[in-house]
Amino acid sequence: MSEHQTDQKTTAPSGVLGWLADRYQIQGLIDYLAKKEVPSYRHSFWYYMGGLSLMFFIVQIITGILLLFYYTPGKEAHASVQFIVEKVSFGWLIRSVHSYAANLMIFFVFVHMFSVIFMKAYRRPRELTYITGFILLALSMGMGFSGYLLPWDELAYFATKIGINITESVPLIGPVLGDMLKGGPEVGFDTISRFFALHVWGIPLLMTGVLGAHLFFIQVQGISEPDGFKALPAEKKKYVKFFPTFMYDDLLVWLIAINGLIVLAVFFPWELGPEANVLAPTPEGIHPEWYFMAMFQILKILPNLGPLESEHIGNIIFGLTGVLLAAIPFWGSKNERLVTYFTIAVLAGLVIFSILGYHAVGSI
Amino acid sequence: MNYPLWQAGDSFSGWIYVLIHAVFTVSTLSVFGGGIYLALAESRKIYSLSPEYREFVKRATGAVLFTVTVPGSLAFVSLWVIYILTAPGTAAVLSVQLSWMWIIQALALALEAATAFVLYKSAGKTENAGHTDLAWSFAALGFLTLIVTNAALSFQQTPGIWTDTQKAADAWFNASYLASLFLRSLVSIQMGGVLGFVGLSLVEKSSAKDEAASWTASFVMYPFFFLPLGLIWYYFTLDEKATANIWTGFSGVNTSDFSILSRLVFLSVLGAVSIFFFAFVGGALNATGFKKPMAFWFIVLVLLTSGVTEYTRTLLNQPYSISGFAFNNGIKISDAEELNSGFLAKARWSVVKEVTDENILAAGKELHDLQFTGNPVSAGFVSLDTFLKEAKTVQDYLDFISIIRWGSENNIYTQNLPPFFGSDAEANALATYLAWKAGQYEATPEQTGFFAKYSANPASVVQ
Repeated sequence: MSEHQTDQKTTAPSGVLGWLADRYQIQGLIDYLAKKEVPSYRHSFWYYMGGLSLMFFIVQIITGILLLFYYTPGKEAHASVQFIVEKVSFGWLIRSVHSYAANLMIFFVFVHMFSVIFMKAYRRPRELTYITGFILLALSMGMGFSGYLLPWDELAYFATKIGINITESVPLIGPVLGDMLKGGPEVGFDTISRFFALHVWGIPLLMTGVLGAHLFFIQVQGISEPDGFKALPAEKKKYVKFFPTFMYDDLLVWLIAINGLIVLAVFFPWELGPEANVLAPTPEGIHPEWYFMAMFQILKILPNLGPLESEHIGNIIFGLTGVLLAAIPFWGSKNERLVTYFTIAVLAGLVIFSILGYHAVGSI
Repeated sequence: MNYPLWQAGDSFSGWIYVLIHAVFTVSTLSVFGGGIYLALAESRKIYSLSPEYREFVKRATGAVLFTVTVPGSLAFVSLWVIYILTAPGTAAVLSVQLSWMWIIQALALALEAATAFVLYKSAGKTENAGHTDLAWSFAALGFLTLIVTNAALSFQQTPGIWTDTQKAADAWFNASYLASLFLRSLVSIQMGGVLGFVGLSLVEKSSAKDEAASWTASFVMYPFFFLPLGLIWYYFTLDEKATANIWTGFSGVNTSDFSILSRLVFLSVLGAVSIFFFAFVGGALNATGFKKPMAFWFIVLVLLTSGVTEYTRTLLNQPYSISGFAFNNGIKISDAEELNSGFLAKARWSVVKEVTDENILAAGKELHDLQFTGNPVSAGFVSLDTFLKEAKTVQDYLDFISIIRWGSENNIYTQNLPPFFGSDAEANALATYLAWKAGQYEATPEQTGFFAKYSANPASVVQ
């Protein structure tokens, strides 16, 4: 149950909702939404981050379906993407919007996760909301990784090879995972088919399920209130109605974000490089997408330690960090200060090593 | 032909120019629409009944005053500073040939600012009967400014028969004048509503706010329905070459057959639709939630749309002449033949007068700065860079320059670019400089040495 909901009775709905309410048992849902409220204070804008992530996910589903009309995995992959950006009406725009939306979704999921941690919204009873959110972040990154190879251009090919090499270095399961992803001894056309299946069916299906659970938990438990807000005297606490006020505000934020997304796509169309040549040497400056850049850079600078190779050490560090982040609701409720320090360290590490990574490949 | 001013060049990128132009446009358009909005807002029955509503009107008046005075005058001055720094030739032509228009506009701006100040000081009171009349006067002043600004801008777009007749009336009532005045008036009314929304974001929740929001939204929404009509009308008044560029102009990489112009038109339409929905959701449906952050994003959206539209308009400009001057570089058409036998020798402020093997890079830079920085838009059709992405050798650059030389105005390049004036040796110098700048020409130590000396102190290499 939400921490703050008004008790006032709602009136019978009119219009489409009224029509539906006459035929189906939705009055309870309408009453619930009408009572639901969202805290309104200085940091309320963080509440829009989750909605923005959802919006970019929806954009990706829509543009992804449109791209599917023309995209062909396998040997024709690069030619089909070239056809999309050069011949199909608005094809270039759809592809650019799809690619930018993917990156922005990951960015906002990151922002959302860190804001949730700093606002301590992972506390009891919201453990499952947090964990499903963390799974969504991992799936988003998987979505980005699997989609990156699909155009089969030079950059995508070599960056994916790097990613798969990292996966293969995971102790015990790494080689098996790598083989499963590659579909053969090397990254090739079979890999595209596997990534395509994962990108279009596997991960989106999982995401939809987990997202459904995440949203359900939020609706049932309501939006959490940070300590500063809770401590306010009742007369100073302000709330806005979830429906319609917060929902309309969310809609306006989405509208602005969509405009920003399309401006990016129009002025900086997503590039399609030359078709990948598997026999060519790795070009200089090849690097993974920004959300893997910190890991890439850390692996580059880690030394071997005795029997442990640098990649193994890296995987242990990433694995431990991931587990600790995912398990924050369980170990963090009694060590909140430690959670804050740990999260700041992770965040700083991500930023610093990403900058170093881009500097090392000559991008900055 | 040119002036001894430093070259601002890349310091003022097209984006800054477009941003300032957008602010200026928004500010100019705010007067007419803002005046109508304030006059009508005061004429409503609720004005005398509700102190909350009067407070809202006062805030909206403040928003109009601020827009007209601060960003308006800053943008006005900034535009001229940019023109003078980046394109002294163009600035000279504009200030001399269109001086009366700019003077009227500057005077009108001052008058509008003064009126807006008086309006604000006496806003939100019930006993001041003359206040509404003052708001109407403000709107009338705004419309006068609109008439003048629109004449200058539409003339740049479609100079038409004026180039032959040289009559002021032909310049003023050019082909696109009425259509663009109609369009600008509609947008101006929308701007009145946008500033009303800013006023709304500054007042507390009340029934008067809800009522005012719904009414304000109509200011933005109703003109929207007439925009397609205005756009179609305007489209058919433009030069065929200009409109053809939208559909058949050069496309960039990975953008199929969408030229930069068609992409901008798409963005402009998207922006207009988004403003409509913003007003509908933010005002008509959700006045309670319309607070300062929303107003901020609304203004960002309006500036973005306005900037993109201005950018589109600028790119639609065809190279043309004003009183015998080629617009983009301020060169006299009558000088064309003479300049083609040697441009640098005639360029008053050029430190290089004759191209030699040693000074070829410096000569190329002089030619580039004097002829190709004449338009402040650095990207799109008027930028050489857009066309030279594939050039690999000096010969590639030379081939390109050869086809944009004066006299070949029917080819697809000179429809969109300022023509090049100069001798064969000068064309070669420009090509060499551009190739060297792009890292595709290896200069001799003598050439780089001369260029370093020239860059450090141009006066030291005066021929």
